[in-house]
Amino acid sequence: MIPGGGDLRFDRMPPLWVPLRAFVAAPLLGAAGGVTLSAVGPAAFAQRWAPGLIAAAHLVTVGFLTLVMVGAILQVLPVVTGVPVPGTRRVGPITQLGVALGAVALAAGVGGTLPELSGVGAVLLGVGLGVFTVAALTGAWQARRNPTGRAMGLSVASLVAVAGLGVFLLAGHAGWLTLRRDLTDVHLAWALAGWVGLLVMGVSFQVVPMFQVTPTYPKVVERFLPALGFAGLIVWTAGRLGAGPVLATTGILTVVAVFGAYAVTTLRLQSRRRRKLPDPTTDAWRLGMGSLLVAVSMVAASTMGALDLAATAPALVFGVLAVFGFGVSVIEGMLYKIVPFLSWLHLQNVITSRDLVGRVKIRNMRQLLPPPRGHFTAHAAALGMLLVAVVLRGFWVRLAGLAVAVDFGWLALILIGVVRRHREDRRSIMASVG
Amino acid sequence: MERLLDVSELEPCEPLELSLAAAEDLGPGEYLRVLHRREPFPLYRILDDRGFAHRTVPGERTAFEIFVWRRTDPEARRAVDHALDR
Repeated sequence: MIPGGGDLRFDRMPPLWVPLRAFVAAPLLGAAGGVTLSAVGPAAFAQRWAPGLIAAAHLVTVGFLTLVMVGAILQVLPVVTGVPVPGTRRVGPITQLGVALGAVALAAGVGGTLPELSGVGAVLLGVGLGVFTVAALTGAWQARRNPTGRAMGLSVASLVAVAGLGVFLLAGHAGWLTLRRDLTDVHLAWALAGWVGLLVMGVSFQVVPMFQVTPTYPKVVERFLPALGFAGLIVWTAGRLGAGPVLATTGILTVVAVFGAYAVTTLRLQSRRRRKLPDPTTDAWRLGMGSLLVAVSMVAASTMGALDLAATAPALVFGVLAVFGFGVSVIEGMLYKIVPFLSWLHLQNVITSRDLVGRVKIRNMRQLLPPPRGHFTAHAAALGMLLVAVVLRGFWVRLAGLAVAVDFGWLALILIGVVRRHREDRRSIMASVG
Repeated sequence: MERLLDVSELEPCEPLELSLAAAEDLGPGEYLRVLHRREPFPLYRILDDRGFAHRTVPGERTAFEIFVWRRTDPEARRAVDHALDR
């Protein structure tokens, strides 16, 4: 944990490498997803249940997105709300290990390489995410007066549904229970709209104005959108599980309206940036919001009967846009800022605790991580290639997988560079102490 | 005496960096008034550790105003109280 405020104590905080370890490991798991897609090739895009696709998708969604998001909640909640997640020093490593190893086991299990690992994945993810959700819900409850704290709470509550259903489905893959594929869409909706969507929304209330220097979100958006999105998901789920199609339609259209309004609001705020300097984080968030708008439009069209989202190509386009276009874009954009910020803040605390204020000079955020324009271009290219691969299939799927691997691998190198520069500065601080 | 610092249009980590530098520069009897768009929780901890007191109030021009003074400077403390009473 890093210094936040209120009752936070620097000596109770885990070392900086606890969050950084997860932030660096996550892109490597994402890269493994790209390599998997490339290795499996066209068969991965043959249908939405293709084992290679499920394996690659979960390396990205669990290995990259969830690992980063868990770390972000543990580290960012104290900074933006002043409330720490209880037991972070123990919860962090247990969760990170469970999620990282669980993602690999899950991919190997459902991907067909080692089917017996599905059960191992279920246990690892169940334990890791179980520990995390208890701690994070406690922290979010304490921070409920803050809009970000509330949205994080709803997001973590969604994670309970995602993880519960996911572990249940994995147990089905392992042969322990009957595999209920009809629950996959419920798992998917809570994962994308609840866990990823609501968390991004809550975090954005803080990080978009803070890092992109935009006006703040309208109070009505901060106060009502996350709760409305969560309610929409509950109503849709009730309708889907037997309460009737009217409820299901009402629920899903509520979710569509919430995320559509959120994306439009964010794009409008970004257009009113106070300093319009080129910034890869802002570009990544724009790409994310654009992808989100197209994805929710596809859901709306499907609900109105104008598009068959169950068909392979539309389902793949939707998945690529929601996961890679929205989720990965905004989280990569966030990492561009959060990792150097945490590193810089940590160095400031080292200087203070060693009584070296004014006697040593350290790098600022931009020097720790110069704006990674090239990397953002590679990410946008990977998204484009994934969409092309859905249409053209064949060798394009292998190329797209390679582009995804380059995107994540490059990100890992960038973040390792921040860690290296942080270490150099820390060493020079220690040398000043003598 | 008041020293005014507007960091409301700056990107992290500049607000924190400039606020800390300005606080270190305070002379006897002086306090710092930081105009900020957000409540800077990370700043508080560092200020505490460096021997500064602080108080945050809703601002007129920006969402938050943070008053910072040396804990060992009663004159600056009185000046802050006076400014907040107005």
